[in-house]
Amino acid sequence: MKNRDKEWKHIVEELLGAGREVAAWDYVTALRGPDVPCKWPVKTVFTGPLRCKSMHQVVQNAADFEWLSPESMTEAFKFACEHRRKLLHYLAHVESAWRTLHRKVSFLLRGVISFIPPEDLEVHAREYKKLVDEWLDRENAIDTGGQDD
Amino acid sequence: MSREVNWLKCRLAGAKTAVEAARTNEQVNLFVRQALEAAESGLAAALLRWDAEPLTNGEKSWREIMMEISRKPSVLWYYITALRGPDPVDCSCTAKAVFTCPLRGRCAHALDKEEFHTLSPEEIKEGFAAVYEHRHKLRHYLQHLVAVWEVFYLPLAELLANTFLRSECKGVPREAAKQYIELLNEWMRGKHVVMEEEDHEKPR
Repeated sequence: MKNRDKEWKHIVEELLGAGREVAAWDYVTALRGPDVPCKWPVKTVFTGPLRCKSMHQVVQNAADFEWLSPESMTEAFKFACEHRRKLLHYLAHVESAWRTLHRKVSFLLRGVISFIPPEDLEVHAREYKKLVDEWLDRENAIDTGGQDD
Repeated sequence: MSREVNWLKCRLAGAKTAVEAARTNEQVNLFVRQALEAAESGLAAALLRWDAEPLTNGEKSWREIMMEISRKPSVLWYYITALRGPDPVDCSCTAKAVFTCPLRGRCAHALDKEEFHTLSPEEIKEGFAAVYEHRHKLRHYLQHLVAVWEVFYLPLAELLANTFLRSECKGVPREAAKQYIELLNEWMRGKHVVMEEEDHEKPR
């Protein structure tokens, strides 16, 4: 089953089953959206894909992420960069979750929340979408370093 | 122990004997034998814990709490979405220690319930006052917090909602902090994460 077709609970079970308790902790603590008021695509861009196929109809999930336009993706990245101080706690948790799921996403997010954020946010947003889609299409939730690509 | 539970325990003991017999059979290959060894030790651990006193909520880890509520997906969702501390910078440390840490139970890799236990009643009251002051910024977090307590222990949810979400609290909510400590201790002493009627009425 691809990650996009799994429910978040399956991802937790997969991580715990592999003995990755810290990773499971990082993952579950990234599942709540940001507490600070944000432009609408922020939660869909950063929390949505982690929730995969949602068990609860009311919450944003990977399907919402897939429907996003490239403009909305860039808008979310711009907002995250401009308000990175306020969003730091939230984005740091999201970044930690990706460390085990897809390291390249984690590296990319580190750049976004760093003190000197990248200028070419549009490129970053496109790359993020590509990498996240890559993970959603995988069958293994844990990053195996390209062995299951 | 009810007859049904006793019967289940006998079946478990029987399963362990069967696994042991298979493991010690010389015709069984090494890979299967290793798997059976793991199964046997799991069954032995289950049998050992069978008659043990159930843990109190205060003794459980976040994983044990999750395991207990895992058959109720919506409850589990409320729980896990309350595990991260609040995001806003101001007073988030206090709010985390007072409200997030007790829910986390035991946790080896992040601040856990011990962080709450190190706070004095006075510090908790100060924490309440700080969160009250920033309640609008913390609203999203507080809504998640109230949602999980609504399932775990309703009196605690009502107290938090009245104090921080419904603006019924006048002035610094020191009295609410005192009630929070009492209700939280009651939940910590309970043996079911989702408190049942019988848990509420137990003499202290």
